[in-house]
Amino acid sequence: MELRRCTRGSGLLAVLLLGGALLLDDPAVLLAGSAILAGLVIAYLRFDYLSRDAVRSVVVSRSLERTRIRKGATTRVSTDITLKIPPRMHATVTELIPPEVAVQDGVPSLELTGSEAEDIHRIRYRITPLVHGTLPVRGISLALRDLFFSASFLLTAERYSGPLLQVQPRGDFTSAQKHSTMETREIEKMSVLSGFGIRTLREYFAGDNIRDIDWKLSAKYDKLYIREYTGMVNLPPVLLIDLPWSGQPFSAPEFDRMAGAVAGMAEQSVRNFQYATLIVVSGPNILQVIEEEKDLQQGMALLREWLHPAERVVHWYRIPDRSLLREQIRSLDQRIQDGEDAHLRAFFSSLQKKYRQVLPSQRQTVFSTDLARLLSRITTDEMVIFSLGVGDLSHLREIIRQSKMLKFGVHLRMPSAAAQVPATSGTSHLGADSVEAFA
Amino acid sequence: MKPVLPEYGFSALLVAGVILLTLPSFPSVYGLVCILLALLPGLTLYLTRQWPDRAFYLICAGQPAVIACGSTVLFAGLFVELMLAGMVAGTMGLLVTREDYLFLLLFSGLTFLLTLLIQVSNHVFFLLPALGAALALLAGVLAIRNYQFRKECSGAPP
Repeated sequence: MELRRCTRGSGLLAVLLLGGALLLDDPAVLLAGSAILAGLVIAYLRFDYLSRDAVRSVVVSRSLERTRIRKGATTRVSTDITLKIPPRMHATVTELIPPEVAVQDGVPSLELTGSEAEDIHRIRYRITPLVHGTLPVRGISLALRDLFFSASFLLTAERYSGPLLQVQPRGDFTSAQKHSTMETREIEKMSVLSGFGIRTLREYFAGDNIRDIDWKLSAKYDKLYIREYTGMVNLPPVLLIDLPWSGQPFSAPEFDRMAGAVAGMAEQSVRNFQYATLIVVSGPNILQVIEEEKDLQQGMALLREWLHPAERVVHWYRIPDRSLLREQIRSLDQRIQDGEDAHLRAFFSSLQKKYRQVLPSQRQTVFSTDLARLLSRITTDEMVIFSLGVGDLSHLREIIRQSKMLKFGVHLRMPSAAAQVPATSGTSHLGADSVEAFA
Repeated sequence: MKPVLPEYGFSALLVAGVILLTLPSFPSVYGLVCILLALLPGLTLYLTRQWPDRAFYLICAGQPAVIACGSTVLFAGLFVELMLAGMVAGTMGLLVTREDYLFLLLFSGLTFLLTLLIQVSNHVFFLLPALGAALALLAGVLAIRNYQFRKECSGAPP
């Protein structure tokens, strides 16, 4: 229980009067001082009586969108609180969220003023668990205050807490593959985006994809025939939004511009192509995938819900993928052969040795696996990536690498300052086909 | 016609009461001083009508009148204190529900009891520690009660 400013002032006045009464031996001064104290005592008894009434009137009904999720996933919490706040009192209701959980959006608290009737109030927010295990919402904190006193009550009894959130563990790396060795290389598989209709049938020529052979026709004419599928053009680009981490400073005006650019492009995609596909990530964390959203209003509502700084469960710092490491090793090989300075050759050899030591233990990350799975089911030929370019950008490099493997055209949209930094080695930022500033 | 706010009603009663209680016994300058001090809470009430901690300013403004009237007749000081309490309750909006009036009545009874005690005892020196001890005992009881209630809120059996 805390004494508010008015109480502290009145208490000080009472103490001064009582002190004066003692010094002067004056009953009138004693009456004044003791009457103020009596008034404060009665005010406290009143506050205590009304607070207990308010606390006893609290009824909490809480539900989770999902009670079993993986670490890093997001779930919505809806809490209905019924209580009666006495007149001329103010209350603050706050959900007691476990420290292992981060609030992604929404506000888990309410400010209320007193009224005669018992009201139902609603709190909505989304959480992301940062650790695995069983995480309970412990209850609520009810803070009441009037002019003289304020008090806070932690309502953690069983009727105010729960339900339990079961969080499954999720590693940062996939299990090591048994067949991968230092010598294996990724190859860029040639694939032409094809539609679903059959354009024509023709004879098989060497080099054609054997999966396209029409075996029924081939058996009929005793000659190999293949199906030629129709091509697909005019596909909407996939929009990938890289949200900044909520724990790192970033430019709010630039973020607003990025949000505006995303919304504009999403709207254009829905109007021109009848749907839009959006992927929301924050660093190496896939937060939300909105696949082929046809309803413009629904799409905009989803964007409004997700476009804000996000909590990251996994952070990367200069994570190289295996192909990048191999490329470094090959490039160092070349430099060692071409180099004239013995010291430099020794340095490059030593560096190459370090890379070779690291390479076998370089495992596939869960983000890379999930991204590959996600991109393989999306039908597009272009990807537009929106990012503020703040902090580590290894995840963008990985996204661009995988997109390029699938023959997507990748266009990076960044704030004007980041977009103007000149590209090195004749390639655009992180391997993207183009870099532009968002309007 | 706007209804008269209760705090202004109490203020008028305060001035009227002080005139009736002090002037017959003290028709001199001292009586006039008491009346002027009795006007002070009313003036403060008017001047602080937009201020946030109005109750505190009223309490401060009313104490000189309590002391001045109490020095003449102790129960006159009690009367001023009760009218002041009514003014404070009125400004805080605490004259609406039945509980509000009950607490005001409780305050009136407690201050009446205190006045009786002060009237009966000869010196402040003996009464003050006794009042202090009573207050400490009350604080202890309330603290235990508060602790038990908080335990109940956290799920412990009552």
